[in-house]
Amino acid sequence: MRVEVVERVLRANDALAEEVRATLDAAGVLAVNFIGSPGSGKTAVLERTAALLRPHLRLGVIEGDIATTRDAERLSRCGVPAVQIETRLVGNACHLDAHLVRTALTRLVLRDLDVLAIENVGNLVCPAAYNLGEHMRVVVASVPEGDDKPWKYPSTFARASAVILNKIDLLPLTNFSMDAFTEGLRQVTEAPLFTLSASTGEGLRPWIEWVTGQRRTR
Amino acid sequence: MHEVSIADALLTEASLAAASHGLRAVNRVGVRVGRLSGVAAEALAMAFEILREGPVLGRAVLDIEDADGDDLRLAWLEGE
Repeated sequence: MRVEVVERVLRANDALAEEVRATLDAAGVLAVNFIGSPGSGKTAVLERTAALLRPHLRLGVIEGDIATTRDAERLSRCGVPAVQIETRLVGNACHLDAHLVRTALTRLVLRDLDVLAIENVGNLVCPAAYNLGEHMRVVVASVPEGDDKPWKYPSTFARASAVILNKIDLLPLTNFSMDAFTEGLRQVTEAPLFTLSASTGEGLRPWIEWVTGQRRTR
Repeated sequence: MHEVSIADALLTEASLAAASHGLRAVNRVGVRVGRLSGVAAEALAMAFEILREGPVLGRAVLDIEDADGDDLRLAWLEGE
């Protein structure tokens, strides 16, 4: 006997993600899921972003890593409320899921926040499948990774609301082609691209204005 | 290798669906995997085979259909 089912495989995760989103909406917090390779500079981008948003918007952070609380400590030193998820405690997961985020949310005071950054585990593949209850996704790529990443990881780039290309201060030292990167990106998404350097601070203003605009229109 | 997590979620959904349709033993599980889902079919099949257990799903074979976009669905069950 064959029975038709047609149910999302990640239905249980998606249900928890809806709970997370409802909690965030009730508190008026814009949640952004940051996805990128290890070393692409996600944490550095958040450090810069927190400092530049501060006069206008209050940022909070949930950090996802397999091990250590280093990233949450980095953001804490910038005066940002930060919660660390260590996935080594839950089977070394290569991605965050809605259950982990829901638990982490209980450790933040949402009424004191305007924007919540959820920094996913460094990985350009696995996090893409998991809805965390975020309002938007931002993919962070970087110049040393090479200009072929949108071609190689289309499922991740296709679901981004915005893409950051970090470490543009290293462009003169590499054979990275901005044209090739942009062409690959435009194959899968029309999302805005912000080219910047979290190290030198170059190019951050358009990114900060975009985030601020997203929060204001919500 | 998030396919282990995906396979685990798939087995949970298959188990719920089998119970609601009164299936006591499932032979085949049909799943649709979108080309942009970020899920590797071979890795999912391997994880499914390792994780399947019990009288209802312990012998179930996974049948993976290619799909468009980021679709990732349990499509059908075959069993008694």
